[in-house]
Amino acid sequence: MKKRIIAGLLCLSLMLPLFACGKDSGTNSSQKETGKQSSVKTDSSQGNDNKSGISIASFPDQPKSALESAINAAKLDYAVEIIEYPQNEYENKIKMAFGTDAATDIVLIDGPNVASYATTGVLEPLNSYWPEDDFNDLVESSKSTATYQDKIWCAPLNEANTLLFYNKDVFDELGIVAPTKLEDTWTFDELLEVCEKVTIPGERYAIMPQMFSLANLNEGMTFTQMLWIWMAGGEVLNEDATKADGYFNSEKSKAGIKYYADLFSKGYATTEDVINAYETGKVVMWLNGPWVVGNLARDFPDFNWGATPMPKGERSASGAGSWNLSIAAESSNKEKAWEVIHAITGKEGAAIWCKETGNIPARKSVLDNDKTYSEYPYDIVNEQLQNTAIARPVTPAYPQISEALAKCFAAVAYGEDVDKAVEEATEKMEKALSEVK
Amino acid sequence: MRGKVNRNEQIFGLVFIVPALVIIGIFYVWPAIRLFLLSFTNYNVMSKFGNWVGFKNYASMFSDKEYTNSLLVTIKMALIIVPVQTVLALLFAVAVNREGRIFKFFRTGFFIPSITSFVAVAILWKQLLNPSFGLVNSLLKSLGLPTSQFLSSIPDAFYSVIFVCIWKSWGYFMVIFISGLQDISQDIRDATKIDGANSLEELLFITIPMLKRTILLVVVVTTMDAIKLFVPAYTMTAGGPIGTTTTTVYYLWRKAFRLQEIGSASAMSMILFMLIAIIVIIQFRIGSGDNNE
Amino acid sequence: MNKSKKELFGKIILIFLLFLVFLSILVPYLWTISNAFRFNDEIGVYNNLGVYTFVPKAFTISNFRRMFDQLNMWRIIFNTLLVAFSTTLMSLFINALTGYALGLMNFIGKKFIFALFISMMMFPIEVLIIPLYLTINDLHLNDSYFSLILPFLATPFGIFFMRQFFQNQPKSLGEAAKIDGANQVQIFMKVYLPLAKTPLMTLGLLTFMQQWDSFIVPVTFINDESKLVLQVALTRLSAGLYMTDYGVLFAGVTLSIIPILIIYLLTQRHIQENIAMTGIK
Repeated sequence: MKKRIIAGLLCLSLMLPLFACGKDSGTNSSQKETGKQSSVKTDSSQGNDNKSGISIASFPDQPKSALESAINAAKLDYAVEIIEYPQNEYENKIKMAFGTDAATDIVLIDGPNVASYATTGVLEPLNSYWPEDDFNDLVESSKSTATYQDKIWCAPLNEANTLLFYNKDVFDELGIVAPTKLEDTWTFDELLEVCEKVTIPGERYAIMPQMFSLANLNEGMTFTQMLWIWMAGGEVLNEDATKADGYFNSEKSKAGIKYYADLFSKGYATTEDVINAYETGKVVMWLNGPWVVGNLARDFPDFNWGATPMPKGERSASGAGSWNLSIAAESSNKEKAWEVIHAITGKEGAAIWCKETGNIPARKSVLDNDKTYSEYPYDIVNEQLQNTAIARPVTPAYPQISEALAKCFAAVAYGEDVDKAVEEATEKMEKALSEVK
Repeated sequence: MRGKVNRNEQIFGLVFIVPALVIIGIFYVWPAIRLFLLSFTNYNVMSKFGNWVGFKNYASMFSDKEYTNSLLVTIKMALIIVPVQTVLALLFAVAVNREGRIFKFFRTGFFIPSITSFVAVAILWKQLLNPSFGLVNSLLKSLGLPTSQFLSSIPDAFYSVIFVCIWKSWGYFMVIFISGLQDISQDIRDATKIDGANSLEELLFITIPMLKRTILLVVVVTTMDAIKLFVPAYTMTAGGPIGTTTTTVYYLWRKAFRLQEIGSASAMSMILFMLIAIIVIIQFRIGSGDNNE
Repeated sequence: MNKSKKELFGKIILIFLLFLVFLSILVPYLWTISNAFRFNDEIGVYNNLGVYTFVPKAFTISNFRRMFDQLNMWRIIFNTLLVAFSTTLMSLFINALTGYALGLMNFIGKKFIFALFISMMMFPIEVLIIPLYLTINDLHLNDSYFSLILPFLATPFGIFFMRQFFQNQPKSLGEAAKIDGANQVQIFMKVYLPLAKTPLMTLGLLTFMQQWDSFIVPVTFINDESKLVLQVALTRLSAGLYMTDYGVLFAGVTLSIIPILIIYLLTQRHIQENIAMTGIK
């Protein structure tokens, strides 16, 4: 009896590959039905092969819906497919795609990595596509991110900055008033006092001093962790971004890392991997970017939040440089790809994207046209961008630097000796820097 | 076997082997040679270019603390998984290798994790071990036992991963032991029964010696599996916290594909290969020693 | 009397212990599967080991619906089955053919080739993943089903396993057929292959399980969403950092568990017997 079942299964399996060939078109149509697979706006010719449309590589934390709104507003007459890779995997995936000549037409690239991609020759310079007066609409920091060795490599989705978000209900209940002006911002000591006040041991933590829980390893972590070094007056690399020794392991840098480690050892921050820790009240403060505003409005509309400028150690510091759109050098459709990039990052597109995601625009015209960007909390963001924002170092070795830094911060958060962790990280950075010289 | 070679057979023999030769040649032999060559270069996937750097990758490998740590993690995992899993599988094989529906039921049940994919098992346990809503902490709490952060604490993450690996695989090796047990003839068992040996004595002095070959096989396969661990690090912990669960395969995979350091990752793979070669040689030695007896 | 009572008592204790172990397997599955049918706000709420720990209070299939919205699940299931079945079938044929040639035929170079094949057992896929990836690229097979199928069409273990079987078959059968006028191909197809039903079944099951379980290969070789396989898709479901839709995650895990569990329960005696065969060398 049972032998028959197996025999039957095998027969079925024999036929499957046959089905496969005949059915391919069939699956495509079912894809259309079930799938919000992500084709935005398809024209009548519905060829569904990527050749006629344009593909974009992205990841889930860049809201697809907002990209789609910007693209739809431009009324392009071909399909734009947004392919999402998991965030922790994103960098691997696009590098592999570049390596196999299978890259999407448009690739999302993080600011400090632009140099490392540009040097390997996988990106198309944008100079010939982008009219100069339109390029000059960008704010200065975004211009410098997009430029490497005198060429323009990418168009910024938005500018970025960081704020210290807090749970307003908790602050109100405890009578804590957070500063809203840069000059009144908390010092490192004041921040510790606030942490002490809001912490309920074992139940509620004061602060998440980096973008995600420590179970993650991606650029978002580095983006926020690096700030503790800068706020303490330290540096990651020297000005030419060629040396880590003497900078990353300087006393000031170490003081910043030590401060970060203490947040964990004093029980103000946790190594626990909780999703939505801030939104669910498990953590009171969160060091993150203005996109949190958009995310909260969309997913936790009832959450009562507030934002305060970055705290001040030896000096003030806040993050800068965000994700950008680049054209893959091997794309067969560069003209269309540029149209799509322009649809998303041009004046109209940027306004839509920033409105929906809560991001701060990288274009002066958008900043000027919309009053929102001069109101709380964007007034803080603008002030910080002008006065305290520091861009991450630009070097082809940046991926290694970033990984070493994030691992160093994770190590000290778990209680490893700061000196030891910093020395190890410095060694790794020096090695990576020497490789690209 | 040692007969004369017939011309017709010579031709067809070679023809029959061609498909396998092509596949093994392209997808095993050539990559194996290439791995060796790559380990002396600084090849970059994106620019598809690399320079010969001699023994640099090998020299710098052992000063890479993360790499040596990952080797240590892998070896430590193997040293725990192999004995625990083998003993468990053997004990339960003896326990359920009996007549009766109930034991058949257990044989079926214990095998279920083996047919579930490793990724599904890893995700399933990641959720069960979730500190805030997972079932395990709730259970511990209701039993009055201390709770844990499991995957985000040291060293609990390490042991959690080991637990999950064993949970997934022990049933598989139990089945292999059962087949070994069924080959031990009933006469031998009955003889020991008459001698008045108790079950423990029977296990130690009859069953285990008779199962020597099966045990060797299981130990080798389990060791290889432990050395190749990738899924739990990828799915459950991303190798964290701070490298506690970073296995060598996971580390070199990230190094190759995320940091694009193909050369040094290849050198690291070579070390892994050597480790496997040593195990295979030991197995061969023990195995052939057995035959001579 | 006393002795049999003691034996009975021992048996009851044994069954009780085995049952506890069985629970440690059953409970995780039940919890996961029940969570797949809960609304998100109910997940993790009833952990007190009551009825609702294992049965959703408010039953829903919305998680599955959202999963099919987020990922093209039909396509993914189709991909997974296509790759697993076609690899299994084709590799069975090639491994059997090679095992037969190496086990029963005489030709010069046989020993060397066999040694070469066997030595490749020392290179598991995890060790070869980097050069294999580059080779797949060189052949322009990246992002294709072929990259998941071709490298596994002949495996050192499969060849070894089939050779062990054919080696123990009598040569006289083939010689008799030859006298009747059969050529070498017919001898293999008509005389020896039908004998190999049992080992083929075993090897087939093993290959299928390996392909179903395969992860490092698809996660490395496949970037194209339309070629995604189930195991990789599962990790995508849990990939959101800002938000994880737990209901969908549990639905995905359930989807990957249930079908194979049903097949197993229907055919479990055969599967266990066949797996056991691999232990006999």
